[in-house]
Amino acid sequence: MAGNRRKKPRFDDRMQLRMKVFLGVIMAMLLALVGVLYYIAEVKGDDYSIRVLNQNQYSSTTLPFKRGDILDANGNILATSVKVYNVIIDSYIILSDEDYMAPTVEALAACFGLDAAELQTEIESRSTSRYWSRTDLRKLSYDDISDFLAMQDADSDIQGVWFEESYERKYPYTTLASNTIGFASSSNTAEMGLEGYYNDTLNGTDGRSYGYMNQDNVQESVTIDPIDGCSITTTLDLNIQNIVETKIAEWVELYNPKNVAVIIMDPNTGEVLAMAQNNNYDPNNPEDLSGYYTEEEIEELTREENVEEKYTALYSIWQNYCVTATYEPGSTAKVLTIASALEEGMVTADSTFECDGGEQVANYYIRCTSHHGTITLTEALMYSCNDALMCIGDLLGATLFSDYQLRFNLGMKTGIDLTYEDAGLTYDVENIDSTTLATNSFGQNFNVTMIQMASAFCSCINGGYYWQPHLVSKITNADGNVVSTIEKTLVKRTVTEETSEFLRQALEQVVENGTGKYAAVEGYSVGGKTGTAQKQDKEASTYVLSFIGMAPVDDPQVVCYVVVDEPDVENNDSSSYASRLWSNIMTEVLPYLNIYE
Amino acid sequence: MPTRGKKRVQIGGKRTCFDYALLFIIIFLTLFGLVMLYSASSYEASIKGLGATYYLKKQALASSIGIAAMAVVTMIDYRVWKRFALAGYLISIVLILLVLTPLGIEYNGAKRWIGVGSFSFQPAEFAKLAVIIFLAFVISKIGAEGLSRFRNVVLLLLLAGVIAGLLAVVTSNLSSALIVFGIAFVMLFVASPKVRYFLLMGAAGVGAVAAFIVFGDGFRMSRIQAWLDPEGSSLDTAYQTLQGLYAIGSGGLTGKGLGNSVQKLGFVPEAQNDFIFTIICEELGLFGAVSVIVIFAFMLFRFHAISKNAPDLFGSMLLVGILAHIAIQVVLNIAVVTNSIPNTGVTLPFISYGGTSVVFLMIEMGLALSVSRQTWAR
Repeated sequence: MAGNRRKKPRFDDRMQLRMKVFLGVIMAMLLALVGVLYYIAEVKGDDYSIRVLNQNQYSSTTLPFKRGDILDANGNILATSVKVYNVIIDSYIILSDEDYMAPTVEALAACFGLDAAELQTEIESRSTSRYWSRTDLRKLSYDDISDFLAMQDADSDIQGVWFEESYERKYPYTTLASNTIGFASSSNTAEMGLEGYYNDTLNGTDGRSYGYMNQDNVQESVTIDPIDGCSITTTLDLNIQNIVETKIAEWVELYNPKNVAVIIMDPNTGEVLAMAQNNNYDPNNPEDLSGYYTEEEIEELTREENVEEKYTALYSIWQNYCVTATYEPGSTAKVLTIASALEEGMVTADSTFECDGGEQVANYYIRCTSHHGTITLTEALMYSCNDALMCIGDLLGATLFSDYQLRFNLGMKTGIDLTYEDAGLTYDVENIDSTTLATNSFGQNFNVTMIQMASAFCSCINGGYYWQPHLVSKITNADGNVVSTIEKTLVKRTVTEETSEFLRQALEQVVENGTGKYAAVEGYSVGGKTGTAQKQDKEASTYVLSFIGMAPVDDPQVVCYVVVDEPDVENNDSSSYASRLWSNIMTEVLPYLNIYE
Repeated sequence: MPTRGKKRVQIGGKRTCFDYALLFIIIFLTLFGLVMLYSASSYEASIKGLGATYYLKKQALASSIGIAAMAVVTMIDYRVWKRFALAGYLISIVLILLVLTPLGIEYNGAKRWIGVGSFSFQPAEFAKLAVIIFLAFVISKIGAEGLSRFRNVVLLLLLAGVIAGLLAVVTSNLSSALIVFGIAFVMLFVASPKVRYFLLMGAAGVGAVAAFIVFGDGFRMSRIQAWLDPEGSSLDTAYQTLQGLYAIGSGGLTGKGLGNSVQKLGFVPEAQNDFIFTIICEELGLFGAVSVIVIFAFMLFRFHAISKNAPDLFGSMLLVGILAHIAIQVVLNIAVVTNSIPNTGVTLPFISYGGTSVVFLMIEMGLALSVSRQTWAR
């Protein structure tokens, strides 16, 4: 059966040798692979161990805190954080079972109005990605995702989709008080306004949820809840702010000034009730330049190389004129000069002054607005007489004048709770020559901010109490408990009750019979002072017009300061553009505050 | 001449060289494989809601069937299979083609199984066994003399190539095709007296692979890219390779301890399959990995010893084929998981999950044991 015995094939020596050769090759390969294993374990071991550890932290997720709200004095929400959801897709899970793809894609398409086929292609093209999201499926509200959640509950084949929570900052009143409130970014950083000043208070601490394997290979999870930020209650009154901004808008419509800004304060506490300006922005979309620049300009600014110019432009839009802009106050500062002289006994209510239309000071002849003749102290204020004020300045002298500027907090930050406050610019005492003293006495040749003037004025008419100007009255934690209350803080006494009393009466006369007659508010006793400050560029002959005043005269409850910078009108040096706006505002604000004569 | 390493057993009054050492290695590897399989698969199985022991139970069942089959085959004289050599060859072709019928089962995007109900079967595993028996039979018929003719060598390679080609084309299982062709190549290399044919063919093969890489389609090209730079690739296989490397590297010299792999927790996909060796490295360290390699090496030496002492050329060539099969698969698997070669799905014999594979491996082991049992002490 085996055929010819001689020919019977056998496993001969040569075959055995060949087999040994093959076995030798295999052994050599196995030895080489042991070498490779040693290389991976020894040389790459540390690196790979770290990667393994890093990968395992993927199961740790951050639970974001809710940034605190900003409320107005009556509890209206000016800024709040709303929970939003990002749709996160885990392709790996969807592709792990063929039953998952169709229902998952269909549910996503149905709930979010997407194209199912396109979505499926996208999921397949990112087959190894365990964490990705579409740009159009971010920042969704709970209502947006509730349909999907319901479907996910009902169908266990809808897999690989989950929702990542985050918060989005919302400003329900958009541009209202925007320059005062500021804005916070999506990462809860802020630098402008209240958002910036109270950033640490408003922010909380992120929580964390992480999973780990216990000894029985069971996934355990630990959740550390986030601590939400504190809310701040401001002294701003939404209604007053609204009145002010409406009136400002009307004024912009009529006279198109470069800047209009208004501060309304309670002179008895230093609380700011309204702080507004014409150049505002929507903090929901702070980088939108469209209100200020043409499309071509925006295109130019948004180019990569112009990033610096872009932010310069944005910062000028974001700035709060009332605390960051400085200007020469003009005649409103005469109130402070007269208050100083009264305090020092250099003048009395009965003093009289001679106005002959101007005065020669050193090399300059400084004009008054007209020939006022012999006038009283009250009349000096009523007619805003520069000559009389130069005389008073001269009586005070540089040292006392400079002392009183400091006492009224000019040249120093007021410390109001806002970012980027400017200190203004005043002369050091040793640099005040006779010309400087003369011009300073009627409010030219030094720079102030609006909040400095408003606060100093408050102290002049409230009996001499310089209250710390502030915008926040209360801080409450996430549970609604009050963490701290910010009471009125007396910074210093500026003038005596008597001086204050005289000024109130004199300021009432300014409105009733003097330069401030346009500021009159029907049915109210109001007092105040006009200001017409020529800007440094004398050639251009441009003016900052202002009116600062209070009501009611006997017991002032509210101080309002209006600045109109360069109105686009013929007689651009007429302070009536400020005083009429002041009157318009106060006509509505006073009844709202239940102040009746 | 006394044979080394073999106990002599009396069968029917004669003493045989039944290879207990090999039997021990087989049982050890099977049990060790089940332990590692449970460790690697329990997490993924519970995550999928199958129960932690799902894969373990299925593999244990397949191993039991395999050991029973091995016992039966061991008791049968291996020469019986000569009669089925040609039939087995033809049946394997039919089985591969059955994948195209409604009996074919698709899993993970590849049609490699046939089955009815809950029973499924991978024709590739059967084909490997069939090719070994078929070639051993033919070689034992024509002997070294017949193989000194180049035409015969080419003809036999072509016959094996038919199966390999079908596996590659019909089931798109390139790695099984490579293994089948590799087994045939080694068997013919051992048997043929003309070494230069094989040097030539080897050179041609290397050239073909190179051409395949250079002129291959985009998919294969991206696999090569994934091999060279797994961190920069978006392919699933590159992710798997990278995670496998992390597992090996983080295991260090002594490992994290049995059951303590971190990478099996969803990072190495399907850790119980091709990449189970990386979990062994991670849990048992370089020490455990080298031990496993040494055990496989020892197994190969047992095959060598049996083939050397086999009573006839058919028996010897069977052992050569089995040796080639195990050797190629072990080397390819470890080379893949260490990223020494591009990622082609090759399972680690006795340890990776796979019912068909373990049953047919056990039948092969039964054949080897049968040959040793029929070897009479001289």
